Order: sequence, then structure tokens, then C-alpha cells
Amino acid sequence: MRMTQPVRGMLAAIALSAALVLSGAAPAQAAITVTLSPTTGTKGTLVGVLASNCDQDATGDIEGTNVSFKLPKNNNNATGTFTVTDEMKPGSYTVAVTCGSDTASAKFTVTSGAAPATGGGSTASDAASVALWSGAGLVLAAAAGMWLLKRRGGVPAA
Amino acid sequence: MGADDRPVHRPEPAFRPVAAVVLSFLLAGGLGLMIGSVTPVPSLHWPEFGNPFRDDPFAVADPAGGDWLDRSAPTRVDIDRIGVHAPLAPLGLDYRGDFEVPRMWRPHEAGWFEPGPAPGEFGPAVLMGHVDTERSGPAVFFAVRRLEEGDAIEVTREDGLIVSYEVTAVESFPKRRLPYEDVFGVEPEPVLRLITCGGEFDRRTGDYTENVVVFAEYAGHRRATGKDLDRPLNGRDAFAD
Repeated sequence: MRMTQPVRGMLAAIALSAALVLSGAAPAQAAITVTLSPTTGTKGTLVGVLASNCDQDATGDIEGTNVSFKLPKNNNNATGTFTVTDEMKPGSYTVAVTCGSDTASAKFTVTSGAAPATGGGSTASDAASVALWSGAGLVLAAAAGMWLLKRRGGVPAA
Repeated sequence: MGADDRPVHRPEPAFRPVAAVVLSFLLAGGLGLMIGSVTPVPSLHWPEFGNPFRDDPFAVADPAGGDWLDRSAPTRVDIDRIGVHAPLAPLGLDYRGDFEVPRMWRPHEAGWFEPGPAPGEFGPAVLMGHVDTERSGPAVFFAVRRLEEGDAIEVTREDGLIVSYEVTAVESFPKRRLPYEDVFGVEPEPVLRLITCGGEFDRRTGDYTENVVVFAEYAGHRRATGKDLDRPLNGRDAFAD
């Protein structure tokens, strides 16, 4: 949709091969980190959860709710998803992932679903009203022209 | 010819039909303009063709890799090509759970969606600004719809770093279907989104019907120099008409 597909595909290929080389070279011992995508959503949004450097199946919980989900092992990471439920009222949530004896978390924001109201309208609809009035003007002019044309009959218009 | 000796001063024979045709085109065009201006034009979008990143947004994401930055609040945004030099205020959600937006009486100010990543951090940093105010005309993000692919956006952070982004796309979405996955989704590198309003203004709801979203990708960072810090900000006066 955004025309970046080929570029993204190339990036994917490069990143994947790099990841293969790296994972072959050095077993990851870094602390696990949790990444969400998207980082903000509303009721019904499907959220991807990535637990980097988690080399086993993991489980995730959203604190303050009874939402929990599984993150199966996926290469060197664990990935899973959850869907924003009705009970998750707008606000900030902590998504905690437990990977063996490690835990890590990331913040997720639930909105009401209303889009940002980033305008007051003072420059708006000028185009529409200009179009309306110029259209009305054209119609009037054309009607007047036709009337003249008809009224003058055979009399020279020039 | 002999019978008719009036001095003939007739228009060319084709004048009347041609005039009639021209006038009817004018009439049709005028009617079209009038109808077009009162009928909302739906914004058309390409359907989504199975985007692989939709299924697995982390296929290429490397949250820990790269020279991504730690968190530090952004203080200003500069877009030279369209003359945006704006201070940034932190934004969250209001009591209804709607996105907070900058104060209407501060049209020169844009905002940073604080619950999300900071510019330079991995993930989508989101800046919001008004396209116009209620009465005084254009506001800080009035011109962002004119941004084009490749335009540079610079965000200065509290820690004195300037993060550069390059515009990859400018799109308009109906407000009831704001695509959270696209706007707030991660990409292989840190990304920036500018959000403002677009489409028609609905006087009944007092809101625009669409959101214009500028998509931009990470293009590096540098330490702010004295020259950077001396750049003037557009004040409130820049937007009074």
C-alpha cells in the first residue's frame, strides 16, 4: 500500500541472512526485551508481541486484566499475539512476558477508538463553498446566455 | 441577393449552435461543481494485498540492534521545506480515552504522543498537530499534506540529539478507520508519524472527516550544534492572520 514493499522485502532478506549468520556465530545471552506492534490500539486491535532473545516458549499477561496469551518459540525469539478486548478500557497497560525465569514488559495504550481531532475548521470547506458559489455563478451565466440566445431569435448577437 | 438589400450583419451561421453547446457545457459544469461541493467525495484506497508484515510485524524488526537511541523527550520539530519550526508538548489520552491534542489557543505548537516511543527509540514516534484553529486560520501542521517522499524532518530531543527522518508517504484515512497497525506499528527501523486533520470539515460534529498521516523513516541522528539551537521557533504570531 505504501509502495515500500520491494524495499521491505530486500530488508527482510538482508536482515534474515544477517540474523542467521549472527545466531550461528554467537548464542544470544542478552536480556530479553518485549516489543509490541502496534504500540497503541483500540478494541479489536490485533497486537503482535515479540520477546527478543527468548529462546523458548513463553507466556504473556496483561496486568490488571485476565488476558493472557502464549508466545511460541520462533527462531531465537518468542512471538505471540493478543487482541484488545472489551474489558480493556482506555488507558495504559503493562504487557508482561515470562520466558523461563526471566520476565520483561512493555507498555501498551488503549484508546477510545476516536481519531485525533487535529483541526478547528477555520480553513475548511472554503474549497467546497467556493466550488458551490462558482458553480452557481456558472449556472446563472449559462442560463442568462441561453435566455438571450433564445430571446434575440434571428437578431444578430454580435 | 437583389430582394434583400439590407446590409447583412449576421453572425456566422455556426454561431448559435456553437454558443448553445458552449452554454450547455457551462450549465452542466456549473451543476457538477454545485453537486460536487455538497456531496462528500469518498477517499479511495487500494485494498490491502496480504502484507506479510501484517501477519508478522517482527519479520525484520530488530528492537535491540542498530544505533537506536534511549528514551529522551523531543522538544521541537523542524521541517525546512514547509517552514515548520515548532515546539513540542507531551500528549496522552484525555478522560474519555481520546487522543489529546495541542491546545487550540496555541496554534504554533505540536505535540508528542508520550505513551509511545520517543524519536530515535525503536518503534513509531507519533507527533500530532492541528491543521487549523477554530477561527484564526492555519495552524502548525497546515502544510504537512504537501510533504513529499524524501523530504527531511528533524526532531530535537532533550538530550541534545537531533534525529533525522525522511518522508516515505503521505496518506489520508477516514477517521473511523484509522489503521492503528500502520500508524502505530513497528518497522525495521525507528519511524516517525505526523498526524493532522484532512478531508472535509463536518460542521455538525465539529471535526474533520479524515486524518492526514505522514510516514517517515529513520535517517540517522547527530548532536545539535550551536547553529541548530539558535534556529528560531515559529511563535503564535506566525499563525495569526
